[in-house]
Parts: sequence; C-alpha cells; structure tokens
Amino acid sequence: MPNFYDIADSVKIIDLTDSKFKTFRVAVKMVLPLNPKTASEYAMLTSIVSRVIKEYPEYTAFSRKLASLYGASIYADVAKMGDNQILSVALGGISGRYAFGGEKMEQELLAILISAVFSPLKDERGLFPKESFIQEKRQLLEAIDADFNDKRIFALDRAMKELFRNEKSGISKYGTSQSVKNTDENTLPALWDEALKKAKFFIFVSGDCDFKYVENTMKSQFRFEREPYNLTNETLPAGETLHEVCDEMKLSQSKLVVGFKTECKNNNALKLMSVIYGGSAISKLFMNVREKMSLCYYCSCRPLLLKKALFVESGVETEKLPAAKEAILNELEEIRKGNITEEEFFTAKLALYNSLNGIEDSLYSLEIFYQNQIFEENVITPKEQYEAFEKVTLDEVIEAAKLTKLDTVYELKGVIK
Amino acid sequence: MQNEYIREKIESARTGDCYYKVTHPTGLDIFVYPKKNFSTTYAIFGTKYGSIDNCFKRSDEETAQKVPEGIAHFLEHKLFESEDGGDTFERFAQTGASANAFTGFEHTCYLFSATQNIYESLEILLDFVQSPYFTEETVKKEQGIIGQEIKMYDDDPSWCSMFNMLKAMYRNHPIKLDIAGTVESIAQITPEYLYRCYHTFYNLSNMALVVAGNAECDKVIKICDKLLKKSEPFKVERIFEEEPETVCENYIEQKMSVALPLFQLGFKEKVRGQHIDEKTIAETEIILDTMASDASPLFKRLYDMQLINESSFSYDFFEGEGHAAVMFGGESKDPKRVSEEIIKEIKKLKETGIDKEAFEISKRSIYGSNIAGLNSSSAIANALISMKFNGRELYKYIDSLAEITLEDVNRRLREIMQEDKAVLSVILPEDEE
Repeated sequence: MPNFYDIADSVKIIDLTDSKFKTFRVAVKMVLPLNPKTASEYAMLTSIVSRVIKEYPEYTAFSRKLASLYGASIYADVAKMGDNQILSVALGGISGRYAFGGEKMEQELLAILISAVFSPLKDERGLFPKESFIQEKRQLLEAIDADFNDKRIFALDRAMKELFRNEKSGISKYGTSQSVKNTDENTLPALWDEALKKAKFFIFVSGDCDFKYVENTMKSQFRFEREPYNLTNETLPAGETLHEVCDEMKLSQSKLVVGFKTECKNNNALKLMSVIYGGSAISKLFMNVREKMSLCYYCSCRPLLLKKALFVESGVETEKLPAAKEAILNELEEIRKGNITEEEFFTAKLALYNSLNGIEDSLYSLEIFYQNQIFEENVITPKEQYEAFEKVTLDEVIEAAKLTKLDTVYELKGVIK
Repeated sequence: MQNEYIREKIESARTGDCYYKVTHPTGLDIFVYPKKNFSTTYAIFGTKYGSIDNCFKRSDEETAQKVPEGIAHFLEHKLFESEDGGDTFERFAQTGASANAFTGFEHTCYLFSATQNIYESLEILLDFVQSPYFTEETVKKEQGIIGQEIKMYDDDPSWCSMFNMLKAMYRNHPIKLDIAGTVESIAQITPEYLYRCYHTFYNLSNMALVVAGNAECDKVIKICDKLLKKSEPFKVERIFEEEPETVCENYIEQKMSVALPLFQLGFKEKVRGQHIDEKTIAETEIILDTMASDASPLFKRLYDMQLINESSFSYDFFEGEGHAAVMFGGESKDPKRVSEEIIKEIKKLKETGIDKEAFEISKRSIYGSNIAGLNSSSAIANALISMKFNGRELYKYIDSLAEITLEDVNRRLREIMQEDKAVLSVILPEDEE
C-alpha cells in the first residue's frame, strides 16, 4: 500500500510505481506558506530553476537534450493548497524498455531534475541568469493575462479571492501583476535556498521506473540542515451578511459563482453532498437548474475541503442571473430538507466509486490523489477512500448541507455588445 | 449483407501492444484494445457525421439535400433523451459509468468511462444511440440550451480566433461554420430534419465502436450481437461546393475582452482526394516539430524577442474531407511580427532543407509522445476512432514515423506552407474607453 515516509527531516517520498505504464514521472513538490510578499517570487522560481541547468546552460541545447530523450519533459508548476503554495518541478519520460538507443532513462532524467532543484544554474553574480529572470517574469505576467482571457477561470478566481477575502487563501497562487512586476532578481537565490531549507518536501515517483534508485538518489541530496515550516490552514465561518460582488464586461454570457463556507467536520459527507448537489450529470444542479429550468449551460459544484468551502459555477444568460441564483440556492435547501431520493444517494456513491477505482490508471490522477492527503495524518488508498464514502449516511449528508452557509455571490455580468 | 464476422488481430512489435478489429455482420467496425492490469474501460460509439455534413446525397435517393447548420451537434444533445421521457445519464448513473459526447467537424461520438458494470454500460451506449426520439417540444427546449452554449463559445477568444481564421481561409467549405451552428440556424431545426439526418448518417456501416482498457473482445461482440440493429447499408456522398485554392483574405481581427492578444496563423493546403495517408501526416508532424518545437531556432528567436510564451505556443496539421491547413497559434503582444518571423523561417528552411540532427531528434521526440499516449485508454480510443473515420491506422502511423527519411520531409516541406495561402487571425483587447 503506498504511503509517505521520511527520507530526511520533513522530506517524504511515496512509491507509486507500476510497470503497466509505458512512462514514468518523478515530481518534487515543495510546500510552503502562501505569503503575499513572496508568492510571485516563488511562482517564478520553479520556472527559473528548470528553464536551463548547469549541464545545459543554453535554452535550445537543453530543449534538444530533452527532445532527444524521446520527448522527455520538465514541468514547473505552482499551485495553492489551503493557505499554502506548492512549488512543483517534475520530469517525465518514456520507460527505459521503449528506449531503442538503450538509454538509462531514470538515470538521465533524474540527474536533470536534481541539477535543476538542488544546484540550479547561477551566473558570475551568484544570481540566476538574467535572461531566465526576464523571460520568466514576462511569462508569469502573461499567465495572469491568460487567466483573464478565460472567463470561466477568471470568474472562479475572483470568487475565491472574495470568499477568502480575510484569509491567506485570498492571494492568487501567482501573487498579483504588480507583485510580479516588483520582483527583484537579487532576492531570488536566497528565497530558493530558503525553500530548500524550510519547505516540506513531497516526492512522488510514479509509472515504470526503479523506485529504489530514485529513493537513494534523492536521499543523498538532503545532506544539509533543514528547518521545516510549520504549515497551517485556517478556516473561517461564513460572514454575517452576504458578500456580493459584480463586475461588468462585454460578454455574450454571464458567469455566476456562488461561494459557501461550511462548518461540517465530516469531509466524506461534505464530498458526497457536493456530488449530489452538483457533481455529476444527474446532480440536482444539472437536472433542475440546467435541464428542467434551462437557466444555464453549465452548473456544477466544486468543493475545497481543506478550506471548508464550496463553489457553484455557472454560465448564465444575463437576464436570467437572479433566477439562476435563486434556483441554485433552492437546490441546496432541498438537500437540507432531506429531499434526496434513494436513487440520488445511491448513484452519487456509485459515481465516486467509479472515479476512485480508475485513479490507478492515470499517473496524473494518482499523484493528485496522494498530494491531496499531504496534510492528513493517515494516508489512505483509493479503495479505502471509497470504503469511507460507503459508510456515509443520508443524515450525515443532510447535516453537511445544513452546516453549509452562503457567504459570497460573484457575478461577471455580460454587457450587451 | 455479409453474415460472417471478419476478425483481425493487429499487433505492434514497436510498442508491444495489440488490438482486435472485428467487422460485425451488421456492417459496424468494432475495435477492442485490451490494456492489461487497467481497471478503466473507455468506450466510444461514433458516426462519421459532423458539422461539415450539411449537404449530402444518399446512394438510394435521386437528389441531394441541404440542411441547416448545427444539426450534427443538435442530434448529439437530443439522443440522450428517450421516448419514455427518461434521461440517458440517469441510466448510466445506475451502472456508475461517467458518460459524455462530442461533435466535431467530421465525427460525432458518444462515450463512457467505467470501472465496473462495463458490459451493462456498453448495452446502454449501444441502445440509446440507436434509439432516436425527437418531438417539437424537446427540440424547442434544446434550442434554448444550445443557444447558451453558442454564447459561451462566442466569449472564448481561442475558439473565435480559430473560426475567424477558417472564415478568412475558406470561401465555400463548411469547415468555416461553427460546429454548433448559430442561434438563427438552430431555430430552423425540426424533428423532421433530425430524423432525416439521423437515418442518413447513423447507419452502422458509417459508424464504429471502440472499447479500450479493461475489455474482452468476445464479451464486447456478444453485446453487439444482442443489441445492434440491422439496417440496409447505403453510401452517403458529402457534397461540397467547389473551393478555390486561394484564401478569402490574409488577415482578420476581432476585439474581445482579453488582456493579451491571441493569434492563429494558418496555411491553406492543397487537398488531394478524401484523406491524407499516415506517411504524409507523419512527415508533416516531423516538419512542424523540427521547425517550431521549443528545441528549434525559430522558437528561440520568437521567445528571445518576447513574442511567444511556452505555455500557449502551438502548431498543428489540421485536415479532413476537402480541407487541410497547417496552423500555428498562441498568445503574443505582436501577432503580426510572429507571423512575419514564421514565414521568414519557412522560406529559409525550404532553401536550406531541414537539418539532419534536428530531424533525428524530432523523430525520437514524436515517437516518445506516441508511446506516452498509449498509457491512456481514452487517448487510445479517441485515436482509433478518429483514424478509422479518416481511413488511417494507428500502428501504421507510428511505424511511418520510424521509416520516414530526411528526403521525404524535405520534399513534403516544399509542398506546404505557401505564403500567399497564409491567413493571420488575431484577437485584440477591446479599446480602452
């Protein structure tokens, strides 16, 4: 059974290897507190350290090297989990058995990953290469712009900022455009060193590769003093009054995001409640708000269990915004009243079973499943997670809905063109 | 109609995989791609019918017929409703399968993904797709929902960039039409039109079933025997107005609520016959990879000039019946400059030829991507059905990549991406007031 175990102080590794896959992936994830003063810097750093490495200090040559390794890829990413930032640097490639040139794929790719994370390239100033800094700063600004271009993402981000307005989670994983523009390259090397020293590390090894080799190689990188952060997640209850925010834009379709806070401590019941509410094509939101009432094109529920929050996202015609909002809230009220059929209850569990049972067929799904447990004391498998859902009762689902309160309504109102 | 099954086992020494192709007595082609030790089954039941099929003639009829735009997509929505008023999603919910559907330019596919009750789910899939039921009332309701879907895509700058490019590129070919149609065209759709198109294109000899992952061929065939409905085969001739080789205009722009401009640069390509073979597809992919991947000098130049970013820059060869285009796209503060640089690079490469080392690296890289794609039952199923409808075969395509020579790609390079056939489509931010 996969489990995280320590290879150094607050450095955990998990074996998700399986020879049924034709590829493998090693992901190093560094978790640290989300801080408006450093969010942009850290968002940029994962890309900076993985853009070029000491062994291949020139961009095209490095890209060619990866391409020659059968299209291997280095991934740099930043995510938010609760009040924390997750910095990821990962390498993926085909399994050695498909390398017709006889390359030792784990060795080649792991060497690149380790070089990027633990000995990133610096110039004669002791700073990251100027070109890397300039390019990654520019690309991060463009990433923020790209989220604006996609109105569904933009609306959800805005709603999250508003729902978590008094919490650290209200900060975007990238920081703000202004904080990106203000980043000072002189601070970056020290920040990366601080992350190496203080972040909690989670290393995911998945697919067809030699886990022991990866484990031993990784272990040998942590021969330095560590002072890991104490990571926390704050949850605040719903506000006393409804927080309503509206932006107007020249759009054909409006976006409506309704944000809830919950005091329900039973995450399994909360998850099951969210599936019944809006987590499938036969959920209450889909069947009633979309199909029966034709009030929106999409209408679904997204729980953020770590932050004890729920979002309902929908694409709505502008003139139907008030009716859609009322209908969305009514469906939650139906659950609170206990108006859940046996079929709704049974099929929600079945949908969860189907989804959990397929997790081990995808490297990405496996990694995310275990990543979502990094704050848990006990790690469980997909099968054990399903067994926990199986035990949830109808009363617990109703109670989860009763403990879930409306906090924020965000409208991105489309103005007629 | 044949009464026998024609069964083939298709193996790939290069990948170590195999799959089964069975031609059922009803005329349906069935593909079963087992993946050992995988729990998920992904099944697609599709028809070679998409948004470009607005004018057609059946071999058992005298005259051709033109229908309103958007019917293929409309049908996709409507098939989920049954005569007894039930919803197909509710049926799948009883088995735990996750169901969906999509309509493309040339295919419409209905699918599910499941880790249990696989064969019960397969029964539902085969049953509902073969059970059309449309009324005035249900058609009217769907017009409202699809109207909203159209509006959602009207706000999508990537979607608009692509379709604007196609509008500027194609004078007559229906590839330029939005897949869902328009609010006006779907208002013309009636139950009669839906039945007409259904009975024309949802003929088993025009369809295919693919099951990948946790699946056994014999069990799949048994379900097919039970549920497939015999129908007389006939041919459908798709009728397209003649399309000139020239483009309508070389530049098109639209202003939308975006922070950063987006672009699509397309080159209209000659079309010979129905679909291009595996080798030509592979040659084109190698050309694009050597020319524009992040390992290329072009990419580095555009990147150094801060004209493109790694997350959005893309390239593709897009082709089908009566249409083909090489496309480059992404976000850029200066799309016109990107276009100029790409055209300059094309000219240079045609003169110098593609570098041998870059060619060999591209082949390895694309081979690796194809191996990685075989990890996923959904990727396999989608590739198999798309290739089936395009007259191609998956392993033949993968083997082509290995067999292609530098001379092949240089010859192909000289044939494609002519400057006078280029269309630049740009989405710009709204003017600030």
